[in-house]
Amino acid sequence: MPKIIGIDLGTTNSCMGLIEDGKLIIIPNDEGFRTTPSVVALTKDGALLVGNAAKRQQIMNPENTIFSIKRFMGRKFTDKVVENDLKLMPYKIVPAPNGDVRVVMGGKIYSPPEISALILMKLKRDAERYLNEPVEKAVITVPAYFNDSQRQATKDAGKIAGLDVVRIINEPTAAALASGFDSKSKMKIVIYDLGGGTFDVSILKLGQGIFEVMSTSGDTHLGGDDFDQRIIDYLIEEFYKKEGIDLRGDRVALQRLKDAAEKAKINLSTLEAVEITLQFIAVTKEGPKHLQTVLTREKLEALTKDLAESTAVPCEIALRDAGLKPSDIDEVVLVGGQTKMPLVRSVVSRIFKKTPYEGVNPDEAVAAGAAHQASVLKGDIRDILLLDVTAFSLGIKTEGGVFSKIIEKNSSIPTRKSEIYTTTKDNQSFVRIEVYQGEKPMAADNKLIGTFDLVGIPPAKKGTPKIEVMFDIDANGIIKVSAKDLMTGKEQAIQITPDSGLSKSEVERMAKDMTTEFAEKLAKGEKLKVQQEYKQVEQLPGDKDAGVLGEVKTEEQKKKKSIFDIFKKKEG
Amino acid sequence: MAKKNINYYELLEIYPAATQEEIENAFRAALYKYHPDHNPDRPEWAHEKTAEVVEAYKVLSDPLRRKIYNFIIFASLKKTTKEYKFGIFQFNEKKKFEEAMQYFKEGVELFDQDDKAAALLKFQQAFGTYKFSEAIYNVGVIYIITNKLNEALHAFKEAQRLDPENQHYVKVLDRLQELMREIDKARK
Ligand SMILES: Nc1ncnc2c1ncn2[C@@H]1O[C@H](COP(=O)(O)OP(=O)(O)O)[C@@H](O)[C@H]1O
Ligand SMILES: [Mg+2]
Repeated sequence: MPKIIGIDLGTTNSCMGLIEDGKLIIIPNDEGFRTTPSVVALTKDGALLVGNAAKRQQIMNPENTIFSIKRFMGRKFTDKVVENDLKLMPYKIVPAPNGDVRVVMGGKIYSPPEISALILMKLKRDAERYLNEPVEKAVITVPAYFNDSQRQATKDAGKIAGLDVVRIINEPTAAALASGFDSKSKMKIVIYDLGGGTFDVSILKLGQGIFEVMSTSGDTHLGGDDFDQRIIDYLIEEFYKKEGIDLRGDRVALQRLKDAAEKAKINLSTLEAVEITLQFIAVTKEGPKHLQTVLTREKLEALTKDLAESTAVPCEIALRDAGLKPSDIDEVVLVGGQTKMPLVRSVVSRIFKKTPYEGVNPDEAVAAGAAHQASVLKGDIRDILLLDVTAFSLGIKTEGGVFSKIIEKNSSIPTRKSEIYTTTKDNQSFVRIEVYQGEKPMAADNKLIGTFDLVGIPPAKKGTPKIEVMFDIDANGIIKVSAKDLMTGKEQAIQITPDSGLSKSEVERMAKDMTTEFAEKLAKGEKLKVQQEYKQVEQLPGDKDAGVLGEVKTEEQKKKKSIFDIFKKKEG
Repeated sequence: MAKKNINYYELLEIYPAATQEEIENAFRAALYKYHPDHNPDRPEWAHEKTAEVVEAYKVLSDPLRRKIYNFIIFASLKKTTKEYKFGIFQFNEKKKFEEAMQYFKEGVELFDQDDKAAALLKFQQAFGTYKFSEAIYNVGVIYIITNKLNEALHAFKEAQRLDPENQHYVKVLDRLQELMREIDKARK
């Protein structure tokens, strides 16, 4: 039987898992790493790079290196979130004819699903190489907060990459599946997922093998990137104070700052202080300027405290929605790279009054869960069942633009609700239904999913036709609308105009491109990557990793060799 | 009221007197049976069934909703051969029964669309052959179904005032008041 792999298609990093003979394998990429940066790049000479190779050359080629594409999946160019990102991204972002986001790479325009497909295709290839057999099916995870268009876009990405996406599951649910709790025992757990771009918190009820989501909440725009940004802002400000030079306008400098900031942040999860050195960060009449500074964990915590603490609100909402108190929670599971930061851990302990669970790898839990779900779908695991919920209410626009809810937020899926529609004029032949997703009382303030026209209604007096419209949300969280004429019992014709996304033919064309045009470019990239591995990537002169200044590991050492104190003295 | 009259107890294969724990166990068992993940060869059927099971659990696992649901479902389940019955509707003639039922259903639909005046007209037609106390009582039942408990209380009180001998009205009124006390408690 063909294998189904589990894929965590992350904003920052992606990861693959597979259950074989009842055992979990995290499938490494072709460089042997267990996670792959979700980065795609096109080099000046037309080579396509994905993953580490793309990330490595990011500094040299920022305009043509696409990262965090997940932020734009299923989004409109005019979305507020996009507006903010526009300024942060070194690559170009443009609107599509239908208002969706497009990105520019190597002078060509790509849809976010195409970029994601390139990542998926790399993962697929690496998995095939590792497993030594074709991989055609996958379970892919998405944030619980993904709405219909974002889920649809993720499915499209799979199709473009030649993958049959057999199921989309929510990341926190996947993490819960992977936590390895005895599914027979009854317990309530919190999944706290702080990744590179999103924050998700979910509360799940476990019992008799069923993982039931009680509530989910989060912040679609809070993650490690924001922590990095705080460091960048701080470095820019310090540099400005010292040198009077504003680095904000310099894209290459910004990219280098971002790199250094992230490295410093990661190192500060285990160290007390790090040195950041960026030589030749600016050039003035007097000569080149270097940025050299020391960042302590204390300073980092001061810079990002409010970010970590802002996760408390969604946590409280999730608790409230589930009707629970912190003391009702049995375990808190930390997922996502950013939860490795000690500050985040302590904030979590405070919110839930509990030390977080140590049994999962924050980088791999989601992929592991996807692999478990794949195994369930294959029929290999029969004693586990995942019951997800919708993160949004679904409804329609009614008189006066009021949003009338049909399916409430946090309803278990799959679910179906039906409504009866009729005509308001004699011989009216069609009825228009506008479907929205969201929680605001006015339809216009929510997200338009699509417009549905019930067409070909037989002529009749107003109010007499009775058309039952069914709103289905399937186990993937994807919405389907269908209608039945209650008078005749026949399926009612329906025309759907989705508000966003790719059409079927677009997806098909892109999938074809993927096997021809992209394959060529990828082959070029493979060659380049081999070169890259032999010859160290050209680095900017004197650019160093965020250097390790003090390796303060144990509490004892801390007291003796207190590098920390030296800085305090210097400052004071 | 587009909802089909699904008997949730039948669906979950439990007795109407099932405890919360039995309901929970039955829910899980039904999920294993119907969930699309376990029925890859008939996804449509699995989807529909699971959606029903999820709804059933949502209603029955909430004591309040369960009471309201019980109220409706047991009213509609009584059926004898001689008489045509639907809750409070009781006719010896099929045609009349169906006519009244039609008015009743239309009334509920109008009521749901918040067209109260039109709904009342339908109810009058539906209940026309009955005593005034019964008509008022029936309106109370509709209010219960549509979750307007204060209005229902008012209607039941009126019915009881008009027909103090009717023990059923006394019982219903008691049950409703108990229900409302629970709601109040739950709110606090
Ligand atoms: N040891 C660490 N300490 C702090 N942050 C880390 C650490 N390791 C990774 N991160 C951060 O985690 C984020 C990526 O998390 P990940 O879970 O891979 O993201 P995503 O789910 O968005 O793909 C990045 O912002 C990265 O800087
Ligand atoms: Mg993640």
